Amino acid sequence: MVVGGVTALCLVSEAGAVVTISSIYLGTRTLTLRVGTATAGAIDTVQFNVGGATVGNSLPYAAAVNGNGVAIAASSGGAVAINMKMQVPASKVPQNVTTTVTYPPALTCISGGCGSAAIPFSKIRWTTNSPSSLDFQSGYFSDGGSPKTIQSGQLNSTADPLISLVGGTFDVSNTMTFTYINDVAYPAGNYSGTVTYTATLP
Amino acid sequence: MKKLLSALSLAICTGLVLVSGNAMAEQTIGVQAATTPAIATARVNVSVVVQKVVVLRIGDANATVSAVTFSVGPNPAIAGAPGDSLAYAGTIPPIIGTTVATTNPTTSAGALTVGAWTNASAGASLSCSLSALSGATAFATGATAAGVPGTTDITVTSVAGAGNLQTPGATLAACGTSTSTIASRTTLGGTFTYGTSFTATDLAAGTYGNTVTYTATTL
Repeated sequence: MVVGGVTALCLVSEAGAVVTISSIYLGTRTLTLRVGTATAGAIDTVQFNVGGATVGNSLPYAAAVNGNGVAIAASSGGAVAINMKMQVPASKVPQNVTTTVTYPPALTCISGGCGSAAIPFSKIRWTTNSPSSLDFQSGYFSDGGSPKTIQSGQLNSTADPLISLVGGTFDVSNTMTFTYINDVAYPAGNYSGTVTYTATLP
Repeated sequence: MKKLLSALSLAICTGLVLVSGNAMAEQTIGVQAATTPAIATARVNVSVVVQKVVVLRIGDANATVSAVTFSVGPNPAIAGAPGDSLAYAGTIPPIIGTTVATTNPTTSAGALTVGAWTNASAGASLSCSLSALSGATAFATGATAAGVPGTTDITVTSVAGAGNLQTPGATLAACGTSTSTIASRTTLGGTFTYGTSFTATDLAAGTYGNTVTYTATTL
């Protein structure tokens, strides 16, 4: 059974970015992580369409062909909600929490004739809404797939002295807006990769 | 900017958080004993769709069709021509020569700048076809026939080397039968230089020609 409820502190950055710290939690230590929109059971997809604004054959064209280095927004699913919530009894206060993201080195070809070609995950970046130090941070994926820490915080009695006596809840919500760095012309095709967010209470 | 809200605002904020806990995608929960790390994971699929692109340039980098024109006439040219009854003291038949001019651009007679690029993994092929040119009699198929220059009489040469776009064939006779290759994601340049191999005195007076359409097709 989980018991909680009296709000101690709610830190609001801007729309879509909320850090909430509240006191009184007498249950078992729990951790919840949600990434995506309100569609039960599905994994959200962020899709980028790389190409000209017009599709067709034999269009007049005089410019050089290559990626122009400009970040392009996703054609669908570019803004992904992320929420991490931990509930901690007094016996575990102070409680650290860390959220990391793991990903493969590259987006691999899944169809469309691109064969063994791949797009490094470093071409994908994200920004969050005016994050505070406790919030999810903006960042980018790295070549080679090194995990990234995107959030780190601690529930303690700084926000409310009651937390050390009666436990509390630490809730962080934000929105990640993804972009694709279009600076290389890759073989035509469809590429995909899955990133995994992991929240951990040591 | 971080703000500390009033009690009323805090209550509203908490309510929103509680409501948002229902039926969300990729939501997991970790519940562990106090001495065991708790973990929750959620995933996002990232997808990039790269459109297939093929670019082909023959002549100037614009939408105007280039023209290569061969003029066949006395060589050296007769002063005052064209006109009737010019003084002439040479042989009969006269020596006939061929000159060439190019429009769009006009800077290099008989030579057109070319280029191609594609991101199709298997590359693309370059082919050509002949169609009617207004006001001109079509080239004869093959060699000169009945005074009409043939498709094998119009030569097309390209610059050798991997970085240069190659012609589908050495003459216009290759149009419809041969192709050249455009490698994937390789910028090709170069020139196509047009020439003739006919015997000028075999040609009957007239205007001959075709529109040559080059087509790059992804493989």
